[in-house]
Amino acid sequence: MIQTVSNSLQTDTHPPALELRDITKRFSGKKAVESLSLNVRQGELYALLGSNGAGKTTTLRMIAGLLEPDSGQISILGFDVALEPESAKSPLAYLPDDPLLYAKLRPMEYLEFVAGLWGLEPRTSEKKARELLEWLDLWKNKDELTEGFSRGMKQKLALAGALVHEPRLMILDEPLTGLDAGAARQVKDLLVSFVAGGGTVILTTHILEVAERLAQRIGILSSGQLIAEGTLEELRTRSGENSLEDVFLELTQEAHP
Amino acid sequence: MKTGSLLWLIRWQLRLGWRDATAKTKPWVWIVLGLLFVLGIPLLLYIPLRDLSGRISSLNGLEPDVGLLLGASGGLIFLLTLMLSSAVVGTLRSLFERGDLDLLLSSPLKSKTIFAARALGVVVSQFLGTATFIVPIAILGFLLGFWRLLGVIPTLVSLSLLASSLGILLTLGLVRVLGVGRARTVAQIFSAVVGALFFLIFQAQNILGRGALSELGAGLNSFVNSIRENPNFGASSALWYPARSLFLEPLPTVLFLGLSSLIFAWTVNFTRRSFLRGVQNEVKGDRRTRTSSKIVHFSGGLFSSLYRKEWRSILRDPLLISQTLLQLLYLVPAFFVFLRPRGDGATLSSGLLALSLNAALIFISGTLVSNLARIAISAEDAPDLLRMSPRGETRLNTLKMWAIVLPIFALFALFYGLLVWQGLFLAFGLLAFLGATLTSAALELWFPRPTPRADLLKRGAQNGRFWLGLAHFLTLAGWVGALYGLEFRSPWSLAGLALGLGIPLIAFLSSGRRRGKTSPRAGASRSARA
Repeated sequence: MIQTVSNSLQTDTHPPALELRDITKRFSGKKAVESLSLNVRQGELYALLGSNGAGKTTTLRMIAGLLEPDSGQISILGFDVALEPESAKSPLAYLPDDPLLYAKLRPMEYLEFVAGLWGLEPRTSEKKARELLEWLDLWKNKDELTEGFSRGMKQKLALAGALVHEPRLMILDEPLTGLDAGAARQVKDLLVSFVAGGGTVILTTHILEVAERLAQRIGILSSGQLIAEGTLEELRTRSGENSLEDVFLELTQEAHP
Repeated sequence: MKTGSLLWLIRWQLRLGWRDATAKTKPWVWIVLGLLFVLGIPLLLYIPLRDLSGRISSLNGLEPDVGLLLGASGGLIFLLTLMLSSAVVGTLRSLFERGDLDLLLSSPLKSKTIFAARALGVVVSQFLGTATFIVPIAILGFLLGFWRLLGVIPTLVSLSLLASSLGILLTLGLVRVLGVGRARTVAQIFSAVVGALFFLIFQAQNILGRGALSELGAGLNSFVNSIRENPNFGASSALWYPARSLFLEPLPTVLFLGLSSLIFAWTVNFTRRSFLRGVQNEVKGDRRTRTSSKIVHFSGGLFSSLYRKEWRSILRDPLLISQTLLQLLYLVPAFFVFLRPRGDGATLSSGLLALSLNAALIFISGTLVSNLARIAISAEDAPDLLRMSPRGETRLNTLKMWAIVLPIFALFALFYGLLVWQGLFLAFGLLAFLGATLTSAALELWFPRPTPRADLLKRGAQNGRFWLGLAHFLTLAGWVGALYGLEFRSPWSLAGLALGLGIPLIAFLSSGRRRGKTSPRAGASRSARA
């Protein structure tokens, strides 16, 4: 079900899946993100943590090309988002916490539209769309308009939309919001196998257990700045705490006592 | 004021309503505009008419006869019908647009109080909607000495109460039978049909022909005579009280006001349970929408995907259709003209008829394209999806524009076929039609005003669109002017052409400047409204 990215091994010859260089963004003069630099390798699951208003969503929206940074540079798989948007966006899937759907379309029609936007071959993408809906248990709802879907169903359909164009980098903002236990497990399994297949995932979450169990590296944002970054072990060593929750609270309080 | 009382709730509603109204326009602008309209216009007209005040004030002593009372009653019924159509839409908005309704209904406030406050809101909006245009006439009458015309104000209050009562009863009946979603569509259609009635009455002569119109006139005359001769309908009959209240006669005014207030109070008391049931069923009833079971085969190609997505979304939204495609109703009179053999007392010469029909097609197609392009471009459900796709928002919006314009061209080709068949085709008309539709769509393309589709028909969705609306109107007027000018070989055609092309050109240039200042990608986040 989950697509594999053929050239998945990270070597020095491969560009990073995502590179942020000195990104700054202000809203009405107030800094939302400040001099943020980040490097995520291909085939990595990176969790971006932070309290409310830390700048996580702003960062993700800048990566997806939905917000323009005031300064700095963003590259996706070696392509500059500002200079080569088409090449940078083609391998990217962005899943915000509020699903990007159309109330009056049925699931297959929605996926047809997404496939059209990404210029996919119709026959292959139709097969893929059907497989995704079956896998996400939405095939039985194929004749219903999206407007009647529950929050979890919408989230799953948006996920199908993100996967139908076989991205190499997935950016997910609170991907488990609104999902029931079964669907949440499905999404977590999906992310793990996506990364195992060479894809890259960057996600934000308030459920620290998710980051603890899934992420290979964790970055902690506070007031728009990256205050800590590393594997779970590295963060534990640095703060001297055991659980990620303790580490997170320790580091964020340290940054803003 | 007691917390939780009807007056307390009304005060809150008024405060919120006022903040809504003044969200984008400064309060003093509304106050000045209101004063200018209600007092300024009468004062302005008073100056040239003041010499007539002696003759006009003598009208105070006039004892209305049955003919006058019948005419006034007819006018009141027509006004009531107009108010009713807007009351149905207003009731649906006021009672079923959730807003703070969930908060109110989950509070310990009595449902009767909530319903009464909302229903009074409908009355106030009916009164203000009509009074704005009619009260200045009453004030002018008063200034000229015809003080009895002030009776218009209590009569309007009575009519607002009656129209709101009927609107609430009709709406709740519709909601009970059809559910909120479909009731909203029926209400919009009703409203559009009533609006079209104005046009149909105006066009009566062309639709019916002079012969049929004379027959209708004769029929009306004999009806009026039969009323005059009927002793039950004498000038003192209670049947004429509403009409007499127009002339501020004390007893009719008090009775009409009292009766309509009683009807309103009874309506509120009688329908509050239906209101609660309607609100509770709204969520349940509108949850799942199953469409026909048809296997979707992916079409491939960007334009095809966009085309299918846009038209599926529009055609599956009956409320949007009722707001946009119903404009085609205004073409009904044109059909009558086509179907009726010419020479039957037609009032217009062939040349003028051709010009009028071509002008109507330009205005209707331009407005239709503008509304549809607005839905497709400004009211995009998932703008972020388009922005993050590799295709680029500008290119996608341009393709959307064509996805809207091309089917409209196909639809109007039918009308132009009829014009050719009837010998009423004008080459300049076709050129002006192409110019008007393309520039109307382009204005939406260059000046998108992002509005979530789910909010498109809600109150306040038109906020900030005044200048764009004016630009649309002037552009269409320019193309119609160009057509008239060209047909009459008048230099004014150049002025029309300058408007029709100049306004979109200015829009294009200024949109380029805006693009330079802000990145098209830097938009406010809008959530999907699925």
